Amino acid sequence: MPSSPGQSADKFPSIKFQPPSSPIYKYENSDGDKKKQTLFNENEEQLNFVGLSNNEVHTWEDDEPTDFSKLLGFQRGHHPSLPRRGLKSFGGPDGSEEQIKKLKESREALRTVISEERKAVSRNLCKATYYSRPIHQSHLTQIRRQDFHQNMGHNINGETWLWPEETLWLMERGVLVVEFNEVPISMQQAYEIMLGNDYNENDDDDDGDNEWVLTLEKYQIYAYLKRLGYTVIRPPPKSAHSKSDLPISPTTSSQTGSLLQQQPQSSSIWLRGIQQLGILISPNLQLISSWFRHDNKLKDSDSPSDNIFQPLVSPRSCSSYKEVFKRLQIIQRSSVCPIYHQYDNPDEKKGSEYVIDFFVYAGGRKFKKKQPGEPSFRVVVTSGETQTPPTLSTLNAIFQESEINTVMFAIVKEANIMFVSFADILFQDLDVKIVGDGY
Amino acid sequence: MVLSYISARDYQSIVIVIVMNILNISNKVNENESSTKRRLPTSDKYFIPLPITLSLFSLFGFRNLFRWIHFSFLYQLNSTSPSAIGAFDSDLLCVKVTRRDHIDFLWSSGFFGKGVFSRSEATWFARKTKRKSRAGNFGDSFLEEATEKRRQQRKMDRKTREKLDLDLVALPILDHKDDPLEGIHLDREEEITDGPNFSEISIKPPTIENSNVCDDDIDKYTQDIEHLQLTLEEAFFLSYGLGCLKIKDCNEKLLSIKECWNSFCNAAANHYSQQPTIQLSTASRGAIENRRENPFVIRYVAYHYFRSLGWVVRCGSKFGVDYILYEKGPMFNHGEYAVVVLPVYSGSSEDPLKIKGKMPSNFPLNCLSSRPPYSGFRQNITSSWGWLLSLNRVCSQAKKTVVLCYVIIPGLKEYSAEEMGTPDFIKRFHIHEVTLKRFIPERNNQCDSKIISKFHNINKNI
Repeated sequence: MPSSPGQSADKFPSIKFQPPSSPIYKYENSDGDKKKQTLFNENEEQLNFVGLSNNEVHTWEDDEPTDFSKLLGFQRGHHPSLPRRGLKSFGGPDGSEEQIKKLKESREALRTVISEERKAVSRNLCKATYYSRPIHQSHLTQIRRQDFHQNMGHNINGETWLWPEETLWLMERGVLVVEFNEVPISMQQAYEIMLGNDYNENDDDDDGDNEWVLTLEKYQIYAYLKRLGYTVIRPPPKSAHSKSDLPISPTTSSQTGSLLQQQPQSSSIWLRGIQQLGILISPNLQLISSWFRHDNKLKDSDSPSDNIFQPLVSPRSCSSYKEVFKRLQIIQRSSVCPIYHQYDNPDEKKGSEYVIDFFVYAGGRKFKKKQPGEPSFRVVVTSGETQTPPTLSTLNAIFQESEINTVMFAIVKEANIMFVSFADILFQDLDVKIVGDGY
Repeated sequence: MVLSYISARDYQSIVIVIVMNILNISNKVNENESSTKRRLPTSDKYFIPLPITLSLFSLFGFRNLFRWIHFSFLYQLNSTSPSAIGAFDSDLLCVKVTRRDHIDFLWSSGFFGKGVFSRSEATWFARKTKRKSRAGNFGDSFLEEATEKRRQQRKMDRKTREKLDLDLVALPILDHKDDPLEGIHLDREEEITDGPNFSEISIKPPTIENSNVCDDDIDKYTQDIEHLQLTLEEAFFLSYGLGCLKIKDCNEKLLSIKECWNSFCNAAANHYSQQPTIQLSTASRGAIENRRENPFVIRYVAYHYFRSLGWVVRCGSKFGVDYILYEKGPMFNHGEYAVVVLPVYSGSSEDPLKIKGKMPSNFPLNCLSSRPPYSGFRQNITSSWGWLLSLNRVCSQAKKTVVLCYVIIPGLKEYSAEEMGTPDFIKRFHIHEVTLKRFIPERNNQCDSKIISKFHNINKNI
């Protein structure tokens, strides 16, 4: 990815930006020195930091692979033009000359873009020293003005230290030079050193299973989200975690919830009065109506014995369908959290080792390092090849530990990244429309 | 609303209810219908959510005169013939209902069952007589005809496209673009009769291929020989939950609810153990006989749970899942949720049942496989990301959210042996639902946790 000199990680426009066709820059407040520059699209809708208007939300369409010929415009010396979203025009491989030519051009564009030499201006360059075992962090030795200080790096004894994923990211951006064993290292060396394969060998940690190890997949997700403009941090240690102001996870409630809550919308007082009358009277009159069920009972049971089962709801025993549904709700939503500690099935072991890997914050400028607040979403990174979907007990553990009800799983398979969110949902709390006004 | 005089006597209050309903009849209050683009005629035909009659005192609740009349007619109907009758077929694992009035009753109140010669509603005879008379298009057309027309339209479009040899701009949207309920490629869920646009179809009249009966034989069948097929779950729900279906076995003997329970469980267990691809260890065979892992029991628990919450639950094999949940019925909306039933153990520490054979002696007893071994394709879904993601992709193409419905099997200590032989056993199971949705970080607008919760319809009341 070509990087422009002197630009910090946050300001770099993401390639995957989905910009409008003709962005209009408008100046809002005309009060003196403060000119707020906001981006608008052709429909005069205000765009947010990822370039979408308020009306564009997640749709069901899939995304297409990057067309590298569009990136040629970003090279040095070329006039950059924002990439436009093209129309799908693929009818299938047909062996035609035109198609072969197009493919060839596309591959050439890929090669050209990737092989561009990266340069960095030494004026604002930071330097750091990386220490592998047992610390696995890099110590920032030369600090210059960069924007990344706002949301990266942590303080230990007055010194700024960076996590390995932050280090790699800044190296890729061209704002950081890293020394290891007093020797500056290249990108390839940095990847090799910082992506841990030999982390746990000699480490003597007590909380072995909670140790956060940077893998290639985790770095891929980290870089992907950073490129989109999110702020990504590691989950803070448990003691520092403040109480969330989200509602408590619904797994703690096991009561049969409210169903069909809409009150009958009556338009007249008299009508409502009559309905209330009916509702008041009917429970008492169940006794009377049971006389009318006399003949039903005869058909159901031959002899009154324990073996004869009555249906849960019999005809003419309820005065509204709401009541019928209520009577049928005998299966509870679980409040039991099955937690397994060991598995004999190797498949399940792979599905059970998940913890939250990243906290992701949207909103760019508003992130404060000291008090990050509640993340926009939490990510668990997983490999599509070697790992399996989470088991219920793992999911439950994640939900209950952080008192959340949704978590994103980022599935990495070679270069493809896919996000899937798992949500703990209480069907009892969903309003279901039923026919007939609920009666 | 005109206020009428009200008197204390019930007799007069009923009259007043009628008067108000007459005045109310033009004011179809159901806002759910008015919000859809088109006024579906189905809301008049389907207004009873379950095939069970209410007590007399429910009549106070009806605001719509038409429904009141229809309902009281049903009430009369039910008091003479108490319930529908079905015949249990243990080889086919289904219950058949043959009487036309029962079929209509079960379909129109809750969408139970499937006609064996039709796509969903048992309309074979009606379609056949309509074809015979060739009276053209009258009233509401049938689902099968809409499908046929759509397929022919696609064929014609494909031919014209090939002729012109155009570069496709987008994936072929050959269906009627202005019809908001049509899908894009492949046959999407086609269970809705929204009235095909006849004006746009001018090719050739529909052919009769989609029926078992060909033109010459039409005269042979002068009566309706189609029956309604209920799955075991549907049949058991109707008889145990609502008491409105009586089930007979092959010897015409009426089965009690407990006998139904046992026969259904046994039939499912037999059917399952005969599958050549399933390898069952003796322990799990015992478990199935113990009903804990019986496929019928597990699926029934999920079926009962969703039905009791108000959803219309239909078969989901079109999408590779167990059930599809509809809000009011397949005639109203496309199903919103696709449910996969996944059995898991509760992991209680007292469970001595060992699945995978011998374990080392120092292995703690609560370390069990969390999944019953027979789960079949469901095991695939949770054992590999590829499977799970493809299932999600298939369902989201049809605009459905995948719901992983975990059925938590009770530990051995949590129930007694007698309880297993009765349908009350289902109360011992618990359900835990988790929804799955694809998330695209690039396209999400200010994705904070509130938006993501809304994404999943969580806490709608908040």
